[in-house]
Amino acid sequence: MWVYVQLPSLQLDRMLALQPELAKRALVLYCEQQQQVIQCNGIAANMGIHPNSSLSDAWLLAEDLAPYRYREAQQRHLLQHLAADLYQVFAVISLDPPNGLWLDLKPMQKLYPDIRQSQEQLQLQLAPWQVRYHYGLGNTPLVAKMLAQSGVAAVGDIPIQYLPCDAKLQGQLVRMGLNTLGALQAIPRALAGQRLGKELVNLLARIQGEQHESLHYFQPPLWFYQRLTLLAETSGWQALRFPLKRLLQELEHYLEGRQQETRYLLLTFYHRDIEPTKLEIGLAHGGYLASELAAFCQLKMESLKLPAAVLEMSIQAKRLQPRSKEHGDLLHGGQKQRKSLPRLLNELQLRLGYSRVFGVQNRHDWLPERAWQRSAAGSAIQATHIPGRPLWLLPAPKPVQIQQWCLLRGPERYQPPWWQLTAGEAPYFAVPNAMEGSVASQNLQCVGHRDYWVARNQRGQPGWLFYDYQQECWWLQGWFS
Amino acid sequence: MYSILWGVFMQANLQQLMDKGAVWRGGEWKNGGQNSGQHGASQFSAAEYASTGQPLLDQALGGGWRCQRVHELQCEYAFSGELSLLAPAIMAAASAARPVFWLAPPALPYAPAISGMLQQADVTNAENAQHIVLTPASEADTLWAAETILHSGQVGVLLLWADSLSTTAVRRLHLAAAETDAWVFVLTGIQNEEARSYATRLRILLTPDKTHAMAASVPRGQVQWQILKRHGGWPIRLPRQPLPRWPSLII
Repeated sequence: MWVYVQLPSLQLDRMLALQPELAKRALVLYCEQQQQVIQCNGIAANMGIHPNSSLSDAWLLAEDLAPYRYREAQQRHLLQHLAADLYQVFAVISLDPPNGLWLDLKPMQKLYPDIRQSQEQLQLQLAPWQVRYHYGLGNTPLVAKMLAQSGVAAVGDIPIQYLPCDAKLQGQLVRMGLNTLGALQAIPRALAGQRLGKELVNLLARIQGEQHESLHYFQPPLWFYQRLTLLAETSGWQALRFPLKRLLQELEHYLEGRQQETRYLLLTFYHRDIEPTKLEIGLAHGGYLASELAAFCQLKMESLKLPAAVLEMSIQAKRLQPRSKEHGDLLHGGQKQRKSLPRLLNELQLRLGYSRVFGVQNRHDWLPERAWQRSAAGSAIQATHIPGRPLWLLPAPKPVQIQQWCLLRGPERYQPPWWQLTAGEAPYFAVPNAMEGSVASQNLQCVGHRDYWVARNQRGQPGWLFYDYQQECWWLQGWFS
Repeated sequence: MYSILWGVFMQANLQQLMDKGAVWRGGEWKNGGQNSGQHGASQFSAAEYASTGQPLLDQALGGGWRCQRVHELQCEYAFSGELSLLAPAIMAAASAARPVFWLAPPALPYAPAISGMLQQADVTNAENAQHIVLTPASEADTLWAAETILHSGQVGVLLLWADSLSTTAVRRLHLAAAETDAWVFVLTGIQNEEARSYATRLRILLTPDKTHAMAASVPRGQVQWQILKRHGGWPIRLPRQPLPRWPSLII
């Protein structure tokens, strides 16, 4: 069994759902090239505007007409998006752009043995979309489509103009007095073939299910995309917050259905003449709640200036991943945590910059600069095997006058292994040049050879010094206190 | 008769005040700070205090650093043993598996020394210790980050380095800290004694000990702790102590 879902005004209905303020006016979507109405709302239909009527007629019929451009690409996106939503309930979906899609009920028979259950599921799934739709149920995809389009109850009653064939053949059929599919099917197939050609025989075979229909089956996309036309031009972030919230709620609904979270958001703001403004939001830890994502967007928006008024905006969510489990402690310390740690770190990184928030981690290396490394913020610190290291490491070693220091303990010799020296890692071992101008004895034998000492300065603070053999001078690298 | 009644009445009022921790009692001081929680202020358990690692300072502060409060450490010179006073608080955060935030530190906290300290102290939850370093570009960002972190409640110890903080900034930190279970420390240079809403103001003076010097030019480090403000006590200047060092594995 096949179901065909016909969505005559998908783009318009979605616009109304996202911008309920528009519902009070006669709203039409028109094709820019032919100046023709493509979709219209109920108010417009009551005034006599129909799809395919020209835009000038629509202006005559409705005084406060709200015309918007029809976008083919957006229609395709919406249909894809809808199919992705239905994919949670129906396994085999085939798109029929621009206005419809097929669902195959056969693979779902084990789950929904009764056809009524399938219908219920379909209605449930489509309800949050707030779109108008008709559906038809037939043994073959073509029958289902014709039933949905014509709106009649029985296969035999389908008017002949819904037959998917060219106008010439349809004219011939009408002249023969065949006004319904039933009448056509009553004629012996061979006779009809003789009179009307092979094309009709093929078509009838497809309708009867004798010939297999080749359909492209739908695969759910790997990202989320939604575009929204703003009611009025806006140039401030404040006014953009509300449409953004609606878009993020759509995203949350989408992610909720998949138990996924996103790590990358791309907001695009379209202006009249200049290039769109893009706002990228990369998250170190995934998020899916609309309120949470709105807070992240706001953090990022504060630091960006809009060059011109915004007409439309779109949102794209990529890097979708399964949700990570949140480790909550039921027994202690639950109630004081108002925000999860990943969310906190996301916020900090967005505001301060990704590189300014990091964790510290041990690394298996004897060279002090390389015995630690930056790690993702929030990772736990591992055990170390190097004892006697200072708490503070200077970002870069500082040259010191050894006369002002008293050596206490040492030396601890560090000598880079030969394989690292030959592997072109020598720059790691070279310290910045202490005395500019003077050529230190460039003894290549001693590249990176250091003697580490614990020493005390004149104020009595214990520091960590090393003697660099290559440059023959002393450096301060850390503090113990 | 009248005096007894009045006395009972007083007792109840006083008890209320003591329960709030608003009255400082000389007896507590004598018994040592650790026991201060056992009568009057029974809602403060010992777990809410983190030791400073220095018995003298613990006693002066009535048990150590109180959580939910902002403590100020004014250091004459950076790296004069201020962090070793906070090591027990950092250990407590690690065993509670809560992160430690280093906000705008003067140098890099060195990972081997941090995990070395946790291993040496044999902290139960050492494998969960999270240390997060933030290096904001401006002080406004630093303060924003501090407040955000505290409001989230996901923090064990917050260490904040700043040149000087305005009255409002400290007040906001104080309010944010009061909602959490965290220890909050502000580390600055020497500040004047203008009123600020810190729970503790500790000045760390580095006073080189010239008498026992091995060489007169390179003396042994000594610190003097001057408490400008503390809970339940007058300002006090403690006797000189050898410079405390970060408790870590020694070779």
